[in-house]
Amino acid sequence: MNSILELQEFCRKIFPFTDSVIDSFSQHWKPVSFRRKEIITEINQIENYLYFISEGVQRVYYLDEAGREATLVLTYPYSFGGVVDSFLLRQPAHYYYETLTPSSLLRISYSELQILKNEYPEINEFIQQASYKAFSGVLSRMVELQCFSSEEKFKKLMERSPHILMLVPHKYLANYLGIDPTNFSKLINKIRI
Amino acid sequence: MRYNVAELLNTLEFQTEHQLAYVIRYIQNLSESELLRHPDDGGWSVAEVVIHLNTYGEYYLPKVKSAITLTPVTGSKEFKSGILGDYFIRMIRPQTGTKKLKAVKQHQPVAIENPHEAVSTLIQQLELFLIYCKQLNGKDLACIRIPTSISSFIKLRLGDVLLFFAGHVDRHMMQAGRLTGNEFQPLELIADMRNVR
Repeated sequence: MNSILELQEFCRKIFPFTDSVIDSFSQHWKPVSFRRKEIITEINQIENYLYFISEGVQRVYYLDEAGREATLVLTYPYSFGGVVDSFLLRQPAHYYYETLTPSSLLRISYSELQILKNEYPEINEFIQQASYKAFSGVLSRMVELQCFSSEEKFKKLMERSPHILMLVPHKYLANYLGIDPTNFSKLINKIRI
Repeated sequence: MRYNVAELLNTLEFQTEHQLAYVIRYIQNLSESELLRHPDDGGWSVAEVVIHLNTYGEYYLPKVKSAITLTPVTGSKEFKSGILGDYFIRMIRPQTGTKKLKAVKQHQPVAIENPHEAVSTLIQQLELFLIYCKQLNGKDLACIRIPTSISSFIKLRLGDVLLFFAGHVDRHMMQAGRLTGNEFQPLELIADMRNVR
């Protein structure tokens, strides 16, 4: 299925769009691609795009003054991406958005989205619904990080994305799960074999 | 050999991407015993291949990194290999160097404490190499010379170091491919470019 169709299908899961509106909406999303380890959004920039992932894996991460990274979000097909709080609040991003593998995405600019939101109330509704779901997702992830054992966290990730071990260096996955890289290797050996 | 700089860096990036994808897909998820297993002919295990590659990264990558800051931005679109650079590159690339080579002492793999950590290091090094290739766009690749790890009297142009490094990784990826049973085919792009004058 091509990426515009995937986008439409994904949006329909969040909001019951009519055909004409989803068609108009999806026409404004443009394809863009990146190589591995490219920064899509820089820190302190205002995120100008909402992304939809067609191919590859990306991450939103925080970098502290000591150079330590915290991988906050992993994005991969099919989901939205970008530094979304910066996008919606129109404030400088506190995080980086980068590719972990070669990636193909669709994107829509903030200004275009504003025009569409004003023209089609469904799109406005949709953005709200998507935001509420994203917020709910963040709370679930906080539960995982604080309450799950390393093994449980690892299993959850494998359920959501079984192929990710073959696409992405382990260090990013370990960082995302809040697990020490050495312990992460031990976990894989223990669980997979 | 003469190269177009933009094409050269582009090719090196694709070459490294290909190597990274292979290591992530076929090597990083191997079990410790699979990594440590020696082939019947008594050659290196996958872990030893990885550690050998790491010794090159440990030596060359910091030098490439400082070369990037020292290298001027250039108007020249061309990079010309040095004579020795050409020789070493030809020798190390699997497509052109068919002779069996023996690793020198400082690049012999030592006792392996943590094979998975070694694989992690290799991945980190390949990612860095990728990033350095991106950062070198538009820069002069002949200006800075880097002493080789084997003899500090021999200095190679930065561009030649990059070509040598990538060719060396290709060579050992093919070796790893034979060990794991998942064949590694090096990208042919550089081979094609070497016919361009």
